[in-house]
Amino acid sequence: MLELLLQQAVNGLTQGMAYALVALGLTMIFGVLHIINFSHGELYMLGGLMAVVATTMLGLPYGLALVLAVVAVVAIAALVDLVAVRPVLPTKDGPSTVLLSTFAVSLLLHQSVLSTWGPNPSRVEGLAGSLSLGPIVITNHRLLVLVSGVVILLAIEYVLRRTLVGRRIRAVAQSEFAAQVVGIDVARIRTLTFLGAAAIAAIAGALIAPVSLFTPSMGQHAIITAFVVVVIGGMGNATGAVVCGLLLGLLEALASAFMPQDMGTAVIYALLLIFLLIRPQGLFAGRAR
Amino acid sequence: MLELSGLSVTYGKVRAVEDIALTAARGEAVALIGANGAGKSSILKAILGLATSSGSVRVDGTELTGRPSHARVMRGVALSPEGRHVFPQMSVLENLEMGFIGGDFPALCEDMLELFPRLRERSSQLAGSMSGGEQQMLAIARALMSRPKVLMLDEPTLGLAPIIVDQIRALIGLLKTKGMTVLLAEQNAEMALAATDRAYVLETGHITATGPSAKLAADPAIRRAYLGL
Ligand SMILES: Nc1ncnc2c1ncn2[C@@H]1O[C@H](COP(=O)(O)OP(=O)(O)OP(=O)(O)O)[C@@H](O)[C@H]1O
Ligand SMILES: [Mg+2]
Repeated sequence: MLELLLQQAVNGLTQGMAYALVALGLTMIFGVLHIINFSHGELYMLGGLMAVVATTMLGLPYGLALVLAVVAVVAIAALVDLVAVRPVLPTKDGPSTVLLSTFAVSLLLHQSVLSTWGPNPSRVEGLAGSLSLGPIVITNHRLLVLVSGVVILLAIEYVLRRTLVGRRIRAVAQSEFAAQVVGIDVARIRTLTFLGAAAIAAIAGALIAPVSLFTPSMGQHAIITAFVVVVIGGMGNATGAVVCGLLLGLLEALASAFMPQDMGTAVIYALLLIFLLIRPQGLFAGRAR
Repeated sequence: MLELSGLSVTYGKVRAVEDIALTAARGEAVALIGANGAGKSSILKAILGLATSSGSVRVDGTELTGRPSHARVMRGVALSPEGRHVFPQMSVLENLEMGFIGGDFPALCEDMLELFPRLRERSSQLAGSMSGGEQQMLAIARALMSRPKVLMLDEPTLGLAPIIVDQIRALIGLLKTKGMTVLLAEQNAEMALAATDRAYVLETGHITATGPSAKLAADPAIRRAYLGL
């Protein structure tokens, strides 16, 4: 029994790392642009798709597939930014209109992949082999997801705290008006944040695809989960997004050991509702940006 | 150094400032005085490109109209905004860095910490946890980090102790001797007129009087309306 739980915990953390990365991007975009990018989950899905295309159709090694996923998804995100965010944001009620315009983009991306690729799950070859820790088995690929996730999180922390462009991103998040006053090119910072978050989502999607198979609907599940994570972690709060992303992956996996898969998802929706009602500012409100 | 002509500022359909002309020379301090809502802040924001405006804004002969704010900062305008607006979750040094646009960063920082010794004591403290007076010092220092030709101060003395008001007044004198142009928007007309060479009186978006600050301070009508005498 304990072994089953531990095994599920490891699996849950792997999935949780993907949630954390998607949610972190979503919350960064919220913190800097004050918008909810509804198409963010589809960028994650496209990361997974690129991994499939690169490894199975182009026969590229997995490492190169990761690079390709990032490049392709960032290019698509730049287009999304250009078409659905930048022109919409300055209009009256811009932020809420962007929710709709990016929702439209998400449907478009999802349907395009669904109609060309088909709904069936696709396998992606990741790292082979596995590691046994007593009774628990961790595949090397799950290990890769966890290690890469931690490295990416540390890299983001480093960029935001230790580089000038990162501090400018934080400045815009803290006060857009003050950022304009001191001459920060706020539009450029917004685009950089949007594309940076897209790159993270792409890596997450490409990393998780060999674990959970690629399906065109993985983006929809991810955006809902990430949204829950962001609400629970506190809108715009990076630490909250990471911690809650990992916890939610864990919870989902542990719950699925005791109840049917769909119940785990229902639990997540229930959590969202509870938090929106009793603590809309999130668990980590007021933490540093 | 600074020349405004035919400047109007609008918020939607509301005209906050209408067709004003204003100049300020190199090394000159100029005050904008007027009651709440007269349009002082609107003019300063328009100079920096932060409010919708029409007309002409020239700095050192360069037309700034139509350029984004960050391009205007590069051209030598800086603002210490009303309400200070420091970056609350950043340290004093990080705030100064955000105002930096080029040159020798450590030397500029050192200049600022020299100018505002209080900031040196608090250099790694988060700006949001500092007192109002300290935040005001920081807002001014952050504006000075870009080594502007024109420094705009919007209500720098609001709610501050007399001793800090005196410090800010002395600072304006010092900056003038370095050739900087200072544009000071203040409701505290007494302080503003004492700290500047010339002044403009603003009423509901129009300039109703202008002249040497000392002369305006002696004008009975202005004394009655703005100095409470
Ligand atoms: N963002 C805005 N939207 C709509 N109207 C505005 C906005 N900002 C200022 N106004 C209006 O423009 C007019 C001028 O405001 P402004 O802030 O420039 O005055 P001010 O002289 O700086 O006043 P105060 O001394 O109170 O700071 C006011 O009538 C104000 O209501
Ligand atoms: Mg004002």
